[in-house]
Amino acid sequence: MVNEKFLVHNKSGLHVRPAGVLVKVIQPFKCNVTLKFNDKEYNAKSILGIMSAGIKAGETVEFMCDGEDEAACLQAIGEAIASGLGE
Amino acid sequence: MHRGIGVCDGIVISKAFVIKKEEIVFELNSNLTYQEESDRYNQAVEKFIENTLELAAMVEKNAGAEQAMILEGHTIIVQDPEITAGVVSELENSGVTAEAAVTAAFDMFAAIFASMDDELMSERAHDLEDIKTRLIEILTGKISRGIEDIAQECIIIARDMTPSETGRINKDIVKGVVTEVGGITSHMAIMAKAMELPTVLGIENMLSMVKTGDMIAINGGSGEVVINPSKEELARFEKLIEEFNVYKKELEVYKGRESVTLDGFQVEIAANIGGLEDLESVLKNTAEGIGLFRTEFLFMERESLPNEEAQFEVYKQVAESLGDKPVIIRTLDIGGDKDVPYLNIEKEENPFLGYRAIRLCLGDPEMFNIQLRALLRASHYGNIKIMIPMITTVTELRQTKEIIERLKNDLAKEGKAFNKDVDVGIMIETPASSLIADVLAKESDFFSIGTNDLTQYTMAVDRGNEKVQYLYSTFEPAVMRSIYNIIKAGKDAGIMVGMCGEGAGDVNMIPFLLACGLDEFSMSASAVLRARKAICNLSKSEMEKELDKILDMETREEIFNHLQRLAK
Repeated sequence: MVNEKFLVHNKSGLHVRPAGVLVKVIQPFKCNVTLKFNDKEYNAKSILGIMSAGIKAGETVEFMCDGEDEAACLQAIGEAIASGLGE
Repeated sequence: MHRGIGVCDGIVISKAFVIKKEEIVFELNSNLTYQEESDRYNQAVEKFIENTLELAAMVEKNAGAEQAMILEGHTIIVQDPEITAGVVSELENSGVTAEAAVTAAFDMFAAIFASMDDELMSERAHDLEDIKTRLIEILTGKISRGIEDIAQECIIIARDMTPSETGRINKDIVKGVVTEVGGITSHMAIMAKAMELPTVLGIENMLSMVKTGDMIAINGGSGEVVINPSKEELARFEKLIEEFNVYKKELEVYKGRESVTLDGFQVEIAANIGGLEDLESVLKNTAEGIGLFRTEFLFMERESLPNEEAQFEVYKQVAESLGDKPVIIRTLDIGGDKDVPYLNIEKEENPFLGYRAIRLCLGDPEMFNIQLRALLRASHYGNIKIMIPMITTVTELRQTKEIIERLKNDLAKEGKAFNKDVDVGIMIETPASSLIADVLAKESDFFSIGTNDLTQYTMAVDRGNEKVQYLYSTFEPAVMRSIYNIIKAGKDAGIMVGMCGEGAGDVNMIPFLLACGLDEFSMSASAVLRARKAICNLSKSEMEKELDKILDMETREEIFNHLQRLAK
């Protein structure tokens, strides 16, 4: 299992569209991806899972990837968030 | 006459088409096997995706790609692994029909979103409701109501409208929409704007007051709705329609134009913003800069202070979107009247006279440093100017500038980029700063007059207190003289003077401001074109001739009536 914390800086946080962009990045990977925020865990392959965490701009979230392609997945998540998730 | 929330300018008179939602009835317990129900569900999802993509293609033509994306998003949600897991588990464990399983899975997430303390998120519960209803329509083969049934020109009257329903509206025959529920940030509102469909939301009990075929007149700007209008009301609306058409055409002409008076004096018309979401409107209305970015919205509605990186990103994005146009960013203007729990500001008896704005920032250097560092770093990416609110003494300005110089040194040592000549100006909104404007002008790079607070403090009037509302007017001689003195002090010292309160966008105030020599007018983005039109049709030298007369006037009524004549 690998994990890392990221700062969400795009303007609307993990709202519908940014969450959609993120899910598209994550879904092709085989590993399980969990998002941890405020001590709760959410399925990061689910747009509804990500959205129900209610993450706003400026907040830090932790992603945990578990499975064969976990390192590549975590890196892809980091790049997607850094690029602003399409916003 | 009824009044709701007008979300899209435009006035229409037409017949009502009332859409009543009927609950679709379905069996809860299934007579089929798990596999059979599961197949029904999978086929319904396939059909849903097919229908929705067709609809999205139509919406893209009617309302644009942005709106179509909302519907394309529905095809992702319907295949969401959490939803699928929820439906499968219901089917497996409870022996229910696909309809009941879909209802349970969607309602669970709808409840989570609806309970969120974020209007944008709670609106998403609406999307889930929309998807669920359409899935159940497919499963049962029953259609709950029919936008497709509309055959002639009408105004739709409904409890509410889901995004897919809004998308199915044929703009050739549907002239407007009135709903009982829905907020300004709902998809209905966003789509109505994109489709330029006059729309009024939030008129309670609308469905019980009107039936299909009734005449309806609506004003999508003011939110007015009249059912079965009288002859007089019809005449009034017809006149409004005519005026609106002329007005719209006239304003279009001012898009992208320079703001120059008849005698060749150029001013800058800028926009006030509260966050990144306002930028689109700024660019669309061709504002020539940002005259006020209220940063307090970055600090409100959260649980902890936004860090330097998060603030930097926002300031940088604003600066970059404006290119080389000026972006005036005001440092935190907050006090005991605004709720920012993590700042632990004590409740005060007189918050407007209390520990707020620059007073609070100088008292909490750590927080102030973070914001100033973020601003300085962002200044590298555009034409950022820093503005300090609520100044009452020159010492406050000096202290702030000292901090900024120290932070510049730190940043230089860290090798971080910033604009070393970044302008630092002040907001003039207290009688104290107005009276010593000449002193402040020597050490300030620009002034921006905040008319709302200046009026409130000069007239000693609480804006929120209805009993003294009659005293709250920027046209009061005391306020007008104060504005004149501020602009004069700034001009004498050779610095830029702007205005970022309501006054700047008031077409009746503009003749006076031009006469005083104001350089920059900042207002809400939607007022930019109207103000530009006013300025392009006035002569500064003509207005200057009126100045002494106006300053000698003794009452607000006299001043207002005179300026109103000049504005025409």
